[in-house]
Amino acid sequence: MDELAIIQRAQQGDLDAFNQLVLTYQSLAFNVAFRILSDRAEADDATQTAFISAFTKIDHFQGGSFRAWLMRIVTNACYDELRRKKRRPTVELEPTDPESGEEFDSPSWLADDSVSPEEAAELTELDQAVQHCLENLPEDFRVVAVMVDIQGMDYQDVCEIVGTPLGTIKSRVSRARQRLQQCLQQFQELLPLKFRFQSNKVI
Amino acid sequence: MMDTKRLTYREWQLLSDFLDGNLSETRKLEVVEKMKSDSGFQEAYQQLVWTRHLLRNAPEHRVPHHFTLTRQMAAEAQATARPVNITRFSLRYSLASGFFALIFVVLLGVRLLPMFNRTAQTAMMESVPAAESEMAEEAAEDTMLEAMALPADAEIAEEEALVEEEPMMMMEAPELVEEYTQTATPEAAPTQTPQPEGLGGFDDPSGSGGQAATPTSTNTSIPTPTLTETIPPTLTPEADRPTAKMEEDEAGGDQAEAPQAFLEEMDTLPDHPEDPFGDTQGRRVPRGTNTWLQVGIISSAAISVLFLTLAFVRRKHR
Repeated sequence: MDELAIIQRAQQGDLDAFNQLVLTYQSLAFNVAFRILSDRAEADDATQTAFISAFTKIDHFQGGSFRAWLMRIVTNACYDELRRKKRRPTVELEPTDPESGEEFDSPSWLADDSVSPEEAAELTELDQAVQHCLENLPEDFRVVAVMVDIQGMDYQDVCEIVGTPLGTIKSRVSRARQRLQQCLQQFQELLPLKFRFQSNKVI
Repeated sequence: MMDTKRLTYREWQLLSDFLDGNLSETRKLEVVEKMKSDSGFQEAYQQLVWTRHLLRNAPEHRVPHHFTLTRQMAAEAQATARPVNITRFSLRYSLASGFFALIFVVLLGVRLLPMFNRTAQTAMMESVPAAESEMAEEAAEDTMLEAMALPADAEIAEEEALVEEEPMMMMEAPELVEEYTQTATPEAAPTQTPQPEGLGGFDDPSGSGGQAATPTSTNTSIPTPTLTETIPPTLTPEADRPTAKMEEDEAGGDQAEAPQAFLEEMDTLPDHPEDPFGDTQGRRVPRGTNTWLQVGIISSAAISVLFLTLAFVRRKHR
């Protein structure tokens, strides 16, 4: 069944139809939320909140890109979460080594059983480096970088999601890339070989 | 690694657009030519490609659980979506408030309308005293002519003319009024002023009060029917001389007090045919109309504020 028919059924109150849409987009929604919020629990909450909000507002959807419409809701949920965090900063409960005081690796990074331990280690390094550099970006730059460069979304969709002119989006992407590039260079030695910068190979 | 920090913001933007394929063919050729000639520019581009390569290869995280909604979650979501109904409810309060505010404005406008009419009439009446004084002078001249024509009544005509002029004199000089009252009263009172019982007359030799003096005082040898209308106000009790006050006003008097006196009269008399509270026949409108109007104004304002408060409270409880 095509997506439009599922959306129409969901708009008529069919919960099963809506849940089909949830299953289709939940991974994208959660990953966008996680990259913006840098916290799995908060991303979990924001994603669930976004889907509930989408369920109550789906009758307002009047065509166009459902993905962009849904990502807009997710992004707004993330902005709400970020504002809440600023109002009430929390202390992270990452496990720490009592002797050195350094954080242990979160078990969630290693819980992915779809890759080998070596690959997981490599991806973990890359993931942590990317996430660290994303965290240092301003929120608006981070959102467009996640959507354009990590999720590979179209500029026009991002314009629709963020509600900002195309020129502004392009400018933000450019600046975000420039900062990310400078940041990621610091992690180059820690990255797996295949991700290290080699000036003659990457073009 | 070459220094790419020397690139301007525009150059970074150009490289970013080139990377995304957002440039025209001409611009693309320009960028390619520049990369061939400028190794720093080329390396900056390669670093951008590398950055995007890393970002695109960042691992995708598995969802911790499915985000599908259960029936219970859907019901709760619908329940929390009810603020829309609350908003509509508060909208009703707002509309009700607006309706009563409209009534308030209309009633207030109706209430103020006579005031505007009154203001216009006050301006008209400012010219009235002068005209009335001219009429009074003409009347005095007529009296003098009558006195000349009827020598037997000469003294009476003189008295009439004198008395008609006296109100104006008294209004212009209050101290003269008092002097006149003291000098004129002993002569005029026995003939013109009915004294209340028990108060006694002026120089009552019998000491039996005014009862004996008053009846005899009205039986003067000369009938003066018009004299009672032109008695100075100070010589007549308030209750017995409603026309004397009007004459006092008509005679000119104090120019500043005349409009005020007129306004006081306007409060009680529907003297304008267009007055919504009067009618064209000049009949008096019941004073209760104004009362009901005021009650309506106050009530509509109060109800409007009440509904507005309710609408605000309901909205805040969303």
